[in-house]
This record gives sequence, C-alpha cells and structure tokens, in this order.
Amino acid sequence: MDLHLIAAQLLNGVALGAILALVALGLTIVFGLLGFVNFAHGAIFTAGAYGGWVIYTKTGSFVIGIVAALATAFVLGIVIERLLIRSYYNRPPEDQILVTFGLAIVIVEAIRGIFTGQTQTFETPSWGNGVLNVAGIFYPQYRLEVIAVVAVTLLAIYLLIYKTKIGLIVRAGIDDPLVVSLLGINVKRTFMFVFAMGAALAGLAGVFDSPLLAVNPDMGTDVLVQSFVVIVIGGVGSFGGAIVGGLIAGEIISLATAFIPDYSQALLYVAMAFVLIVRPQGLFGVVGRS
Amino acid sequence: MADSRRTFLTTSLGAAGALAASGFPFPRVSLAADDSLFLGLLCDQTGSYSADGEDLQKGYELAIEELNAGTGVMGKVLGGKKGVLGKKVTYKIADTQTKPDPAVQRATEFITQDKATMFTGGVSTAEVIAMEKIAQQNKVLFMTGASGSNDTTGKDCQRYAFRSQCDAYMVSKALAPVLAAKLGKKRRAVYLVPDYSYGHSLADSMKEFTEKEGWTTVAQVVAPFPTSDYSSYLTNIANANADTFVNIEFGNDGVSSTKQAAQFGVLKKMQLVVPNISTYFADGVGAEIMAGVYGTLPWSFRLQERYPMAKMFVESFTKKFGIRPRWTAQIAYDQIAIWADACYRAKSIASADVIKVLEEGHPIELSLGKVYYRAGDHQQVRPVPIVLGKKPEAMQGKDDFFDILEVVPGESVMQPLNLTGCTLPPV
Amino acid sequence: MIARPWRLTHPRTALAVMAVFLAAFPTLMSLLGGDVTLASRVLILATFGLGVDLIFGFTGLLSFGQAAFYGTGGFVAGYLMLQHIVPNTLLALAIGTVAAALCGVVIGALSLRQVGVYFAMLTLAFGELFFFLENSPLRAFTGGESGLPGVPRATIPLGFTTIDCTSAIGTYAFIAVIYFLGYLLMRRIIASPFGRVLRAILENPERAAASGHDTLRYKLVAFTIAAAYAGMAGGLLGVFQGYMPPDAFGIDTSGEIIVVTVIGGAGTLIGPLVGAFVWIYLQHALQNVSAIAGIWKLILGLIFVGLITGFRRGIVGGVTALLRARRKRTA
Repeated sequence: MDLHLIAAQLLNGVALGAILALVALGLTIVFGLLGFVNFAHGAIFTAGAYGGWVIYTKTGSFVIGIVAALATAFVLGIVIERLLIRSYYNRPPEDQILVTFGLAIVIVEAIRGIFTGQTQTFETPSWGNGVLNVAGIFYPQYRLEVIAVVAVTLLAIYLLIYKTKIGLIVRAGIDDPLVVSLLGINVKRTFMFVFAMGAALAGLAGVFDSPLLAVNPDMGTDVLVQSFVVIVIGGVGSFGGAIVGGLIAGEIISLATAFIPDYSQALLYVAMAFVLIVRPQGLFGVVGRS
Repeated sequence: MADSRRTFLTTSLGAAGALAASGFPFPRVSLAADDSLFLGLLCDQTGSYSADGEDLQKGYELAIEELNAGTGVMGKVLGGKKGVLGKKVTYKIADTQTKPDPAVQRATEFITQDKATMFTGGVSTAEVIAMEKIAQQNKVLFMTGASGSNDTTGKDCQRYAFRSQCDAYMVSKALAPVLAAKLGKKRRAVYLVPDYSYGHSLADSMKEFTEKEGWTTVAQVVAPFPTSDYSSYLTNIANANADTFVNIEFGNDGVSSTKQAAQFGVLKKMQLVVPNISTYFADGVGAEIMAGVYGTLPWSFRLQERYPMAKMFVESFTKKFGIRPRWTAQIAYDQIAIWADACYRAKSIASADVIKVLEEGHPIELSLGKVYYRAGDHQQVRPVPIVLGKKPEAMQGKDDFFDILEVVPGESVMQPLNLTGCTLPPV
Repeated sequence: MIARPWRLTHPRTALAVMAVFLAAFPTLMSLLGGDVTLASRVLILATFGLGVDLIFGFTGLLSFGQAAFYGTGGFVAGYLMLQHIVPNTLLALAIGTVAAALCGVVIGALSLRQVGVYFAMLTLAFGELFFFLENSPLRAFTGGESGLPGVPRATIPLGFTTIDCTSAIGTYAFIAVIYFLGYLLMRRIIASPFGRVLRAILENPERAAASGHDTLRYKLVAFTIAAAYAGMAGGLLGVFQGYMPPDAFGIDTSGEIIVVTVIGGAGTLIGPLVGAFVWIYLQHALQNVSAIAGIWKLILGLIFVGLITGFRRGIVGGVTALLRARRKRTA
C-alpha cells in the first residue's frame, strides 16, 4: 500500500468533507432546532451558487460574489419561511417533507428557466490558483483555502449559537417557545432567523463549491442527498455531528474511490442505511427529538 | 393561518394557471405532407455534451437550408437540385439532455407522431446505441450524430443505422504510431476513463495500439459518467508512476477533468494526450493548457487548406453563424448530404431503398475528401486527422488551436470486419 | 395526514367506468393532440402509482425510494427478454415483479422500524444505493449508463397461438389490461380487512397497535405489494419503449411518482392515473411551445406546492369534494 497515496486521499477527503459539513450544518440546525427537515436545502445551495456566479462574472471579485451568494440564500430563506414554512410547523412530517420537496422543484426550475440548463463556468479566483506542497503531497491551493474558510465559518457559527445572547435566545426559543414568548421575545422572528441562517450556510457552500463543480441547475441534488447522509451519520441536530459526519462522508467517498472505485458511490448509502438501522440517532445525536 | 394559506394557495394556483394558459397546447400538426418530408433532429442542448450538441445542431440547420435551396456544398453534391426528389425538407429539434432516455422518447415521438422519414443526432454513445435500436425496431433510418465507441458499429450495429465518426479503433490505430514517433516508445501511461461504452472502447483501443508501440499502461482510473469533481480520481492519477496522462473524458467532463488535473499539478508532471478532442475542449481549458497536447479531431476547419469542399463549408457556415464550424457540425452536414444523394440514387426516400444504396458505398467528395460507408458494419470510411496544440503566440484567430500533423487515410486504419463483432440484422 | 372516510363507489360501476375509460383513452389522447403512445406512458406511471398510493395514501408511508423497485422489475424483466432467457413477456414481467417484491421485503424490513423523516431518508438512501449499484458494479447486466436497448416487444405464446404486440395500439392494449387487473386487485385489497387496518394505521398508529395489530407486519406487507406494482410498471416501461433506461432507478423517478400521486390525489386510487395524465400531457404539450417549453416542471411544481398547502386531496379529492358539496346543496 502506497502511504503517499493514502495520505493524499485522506487530505482529499477532508476537502470534500469540509463542504459537506458546511451544507449539513445548515440542514441540521434547521432540523434539530426547528424540528423541520428542509428538502429544499439543495435548491438553496444552487440559488446561492447562481447568485454568486452572476455577481462574480459582473464584478470579477470572488469576495463580492460570496457576499452575493450569502445574501441570495438568506433572503430566499426569509421569503420561504415567511410565506410558506411558517404554516407548516404544526403539520405532520410528511407534509413538511412534501412542501419543501415541491419548493425545491420550483426553485430549481425557476433557475433553469432564467439561466437555461447550460453549465456555466465559474473560474477559480486568482488567489486560489496554484498547487501547494503539503508534506510531500501536491494539492490545489483553492481546496486548501476552502478547508480553512469552512473551519473559520464553523467556528463563527459555533460561537454565535453557544456563546452569544442571540444564540441563547434561539436555543431557548426552540426548547420552550411559550416561556420565551412570555418573556417578550418574538419567537416567530427567531424561527425565521434560524431558518434563514441555515439557508445562508447552504448558499455559502454553494458559492465555495462552484469553482469545483459545474454550475448548473441540478448541482444541488447530489449535495442534498449527501448532506442527508452526513446528518444521519453525525446525528440530527448535533453541531459536532455535522462536522464529524461531514469528514467521515468525505473520507468514505475519497478512500473508496481510491481503492474500490466501482462501489465508491454506493458505499456512502450503505453507511447511511447501516447507521439508520443500527443507531438511528447517529453518532452524536440525541434520542427522542422528533 | 388559514387566511395566509388560502392566499398562498390561490396565488400559486393562479400563477400556475396563467403560465399554463399562456401556452395553450394546440393539437400537434404533423409536418409531413405530400410535398414535404420530415426529419427528426436529436441534439444535446443541455447536459455534459451540450457544446458539441450546439455545433451539431448548427450543422443540421445549415445542411437543411442549403438542401432546400440547392446551394453550397449540398448544391455541388446534388447538382443544384432543390429539396429531395421534389420534396421540401422540414424538421424539428429535440433536446436529448445528453441522456439516452429523453433521446429514445423524443425519437419515438418523431417516428410515430411526426412520421419522420429519417432521424439523426445524439452526441453520446449511450444515446446513439439506444436510438439505433429504436431505428431497427421501427424500421426507420437513423444517421448517428457523434459516437466514438467501437460498439456502435460493433456488437450494437443495426441495419437501419449508419455511423460517420471515426471509431475508437481507427483513432487509436492512427494516433499511436505518431505518439510513439514524437514522444518515444518507452512511455508509461495512466488513463482517466468515463464509465460507459465510449470510454471503455476508446481506452481499450488506445491501450492495445500504444502497447504495440512499446508503451506501458500503468493504470486505468474509471470515473462515473458524468462527474463534476475529479479530485479523488486525480489524486490516484497524480500518484501513479506515469509520465503520460491519457484523458478519455469528453465534453464538459473533458474540460473540467483537465482543468482540475492542472490544479492538481498532474499536467506539470505528465504529458497530456487527448485521443478524441471534443469540439469546444480547447476553448474550455484554454490555449495555455492545450499547447503541446497530442490528439485527434474528426475534422478541423484547418482542413479547408486541403479539401475544396471544406473551404466552401466553412465559408457558408461562417456566413450564417458568424463562427467557424467544428467537427460535429461537419458530421451533421456531410451526413445529410450523403443521405440526400443516396435518396436521389435510389429514386426513393423509403428507408429500405436508401439503405441499399448507402451499402453500395459510392464515395462522395465532401469536407474530408471522398467518404463512403462500409457495407459490412455501416462505418464510414474517412481519414483521421492527428493534431497538436499550438502555442498561444502561434494562434491566428481565437479558435485556431491546432496544427494538423498528419491526415491518416481511412482505409489503412479500419477495424477488420471479422473483429468488429457486428452482425447486421435483416432489413 | 389524509384522514377521511373511504367510501368506495359500487365496485361494478367503478370497474365498468374504468374499462370504458381505458378503451376510450387512446382516442381521447389523439383528440388532445397526443397519441396512443402517450396513453401507454400514462398507464405505466399509473400502475406504478397504484402501489405508491397504497403505502402513502392509505398507510401514510412516504417513501422516496420507490424507483429501486421500478428499476429492479424493469431491468430483471428486460434482461431476461433481451437475452432470450425468457421470451414469454408475461412470464418475464412476472419474474421481474417477484424480484422487485423481494427487494421490497428486504428494504421494508430494514426501513419500516423508522417513521416520518427517518423512514423517508432511509428509503431515499436505499433508492440511491440501488441506482449506484446499477450504474457500476452490475454494469454487465444493466448496461450501466447506457441502459438496456433492444427490449423486445410484448410476445405472449398461448400454446395454440402467439400474440405479438408490435403495433402501438397493441402495446397499449397489453398495458391497459395489466393496469385494469392491477386496479381491480388494488380495490379488493383496500376494501378488505387488511386494507381497513392500513387505514387505521394511517389515522392513528398508536390506536391501531393498541388494538392488537402487529402494525409493522401490516406495513411490511403493504410495502411489498407497492414494490411489486412498481416492478411490474418498470417491466412494462421496458417493453413499451423497447429500451430500459438507467433513469428508472434515479432519484428523479422516485420524486416524480410522489408528485404525480399527490397532484392526482393520494388515497383515491385513481389519483395517480389523473396525476400521471396531467404530468405527461403537460410535458408533451408544452415542450413544443418554445417560449415556455422549459417550464412545464415549474408549473407542476407550483401546482404541487399549492395542492399540499390547501387541497391536500389533489385533483380527484378536489373534484369529489365539489361534487359532494353540490349534492348536499341540492339534497
């Protein structure tokens, strides 16, 4: 066994896992805190990518593109929550799944209608070009930068949720909305904010992933399904679970491609099924959160 | 809650209704009538091969326009006659999405609803093989679009289908000796292969002929078709002990895999060989990467320096579309020309009659010189241009990416009939 | 979720109406600018939907992986016919259906312990698993990305003669007969005591369990039946198209059949037929109007979202409610 190859694939798995973790985090926050599963998460990922692409091609600045992606996704999240999701909190899970599934179709087809189904090129930003030597492994600079940015983002979200007053209100609002509203805090607005934040994370992941994937209306489908795998493995509603689950999923994809390529994609779903059967709450999840 | 729900309900249903009403579906009128005939065109307008599909579509459109007007190359081939046997040619274009299922569905509709005389198109071998079977089942002639797998005129050959593009065997047999001469005989190659018929076919043929020249095949890395992120595969490739990277990927996949290969430093370590270069490959990866890359193109506008018909084709195409044609356009155009000529010879547009004439193999002078179809497997006998990517400074025009090193005659590289595995079913 | 009293119209009337409709359907399609091949496509989806309606509309199980069974039935039947191992179409379809049902038992046994979102995600995972298995490791049998071209038309040797359905209308007749039998069978299932327990599970799972029913066993049987219907539909697709596409296993197919069932009306049995008609007809009609060709799916998506939000019983449910309201007024 070539150690060098294994090390390279491990690093690759971290890069893949970083994006997955970011997407999964948005999903798990919404699911864990709102009890709501958002099948439109992949569509929002795509919307963010397109928002970023439009602005990036117009301005030539990737950073402004990132801001545009965040804004697109955040606004989209607010609009969806306000107009539609809000009336679904007390409906059965099947309805929630179906409506977000339908929303996903609407969003993706609207994008396809506006931008056509053609794949759009998204150039790697100039500060991302090049290859870095990481302990003897040659790896694209951009992917390493993505790992770094994702890590920073995850840290920021963590601090926001667990170390700030806003985060405290959000967490309390989910645990006990009645008490929180009695304290004079607007629970509805809190829910909307959380949903929009989850959406923003998806949009951010979308714009980061665009130089690596092809920008087309269907780019979010695979990501959505893979992020389901991540939150199942990591545990629904768990912050750490999204990260660990993302890394595990990334490594499964990467190592499987290296050694058993024929089964590389199937293996991810085998892992997901296995966890769901044997330990449905995932590695870090809490049993009983429905 | 109920109010906002009702409002949402009414607005969304209203929006949907308005959209639907704006496109009230009128009964489908068949375009085939007594003084016209209908051709069904299947082009990949979306999906991985959409750029090639767009070029293909333009080729068809020009061909049918000139066929009806009796001008251009078409006019030369048919002696200025307009239309086909007095009938105007009408057509519709369907998007196959670079997937076989939509291709099959739309092709079937062209046959059953529009009463197509002939249908043509498809850029991926998966689509083409599926459509070949539809042609055979419905007994309607199908001229393939782009398809490079040996199987298309090999184990999947059909009486009612004819294939124009040079197959993997021809490409490899023509390219390998040139590679050995220019790059040396003791090279170590690693392959990136899309996981379907075309990919495996071309990889196997390249392996066969390069190994005959003395090369070693270090590894074949197989990726699903389509794929967008090649990082895991390229990590394997970068760590393979090789000095030559043979990229079999095509279309958008070809472009993204090559760009990512550059990002992974693979192209710094290894010589890139692209045995079959898709139409907009060079535009996608850029001239910097393309420089010094060896490969084949089924046709290039540079061939207008050799073939007068190519010059005429390039001129009318550029006049109509403002850009020069690529090789899928050439396949589209020349195929319609050969078909129309066969109809005149057969004095009939019925598929069975036209097939008989095509099998007679009359060479027709077109953009690659004289070409004709081989009766045994319906593979077109045509030369294979070997190309080398130009340095950016040497380009004369933003689509002038290649120098033509050699044009290998078709007869010398055809796969022997007994090896193709083709048994043509009866008419 | 969708809780209402199920009242079957008199069986003989319903079946007679269905038979008449099936006979007139190709003509209806032609009048609307389609043709008999579209009618066949609608019936294939409707057959698929009968099973989905059983588990979703009557038992409340939302599965996003039904394509696994659709594809399995289609590829097993298609492969057997293509390789001339089983030239008798009916027999090949039957084997495909059994294969799909077996997969249903296995996946159901593994998945049905979960409910709600977890069940949905688990079925989604299995659906994707089947898709990727079809794509790579089993490529030799399934053709991988290319699918299985050349599936022969329906051939039914009856001993004294052979029925060859080579014409479009012949193929339609074959599919229509199978759909009719499937519909008949499903009505029986719903009306039976077994069906009543399923509906009880839909309305109140705890109460059903408390009444002494082994709800898991009932769900598993229903899931297996749905898988069988999916498998038969997949087989019919191969015969109809002369080609078995890898898309049959895709996540889009799983999503499509859910959309079709909900739009038509879940829990009505004819809902999937109506939904399939709307889906396929709209796709066909709009694709030739170039201005809005690409957005037929957007329109259907909007309708879908609207229906879930308000008209949860879909088109059929909406129509029946209107009729009932009118009857009440005139009474």
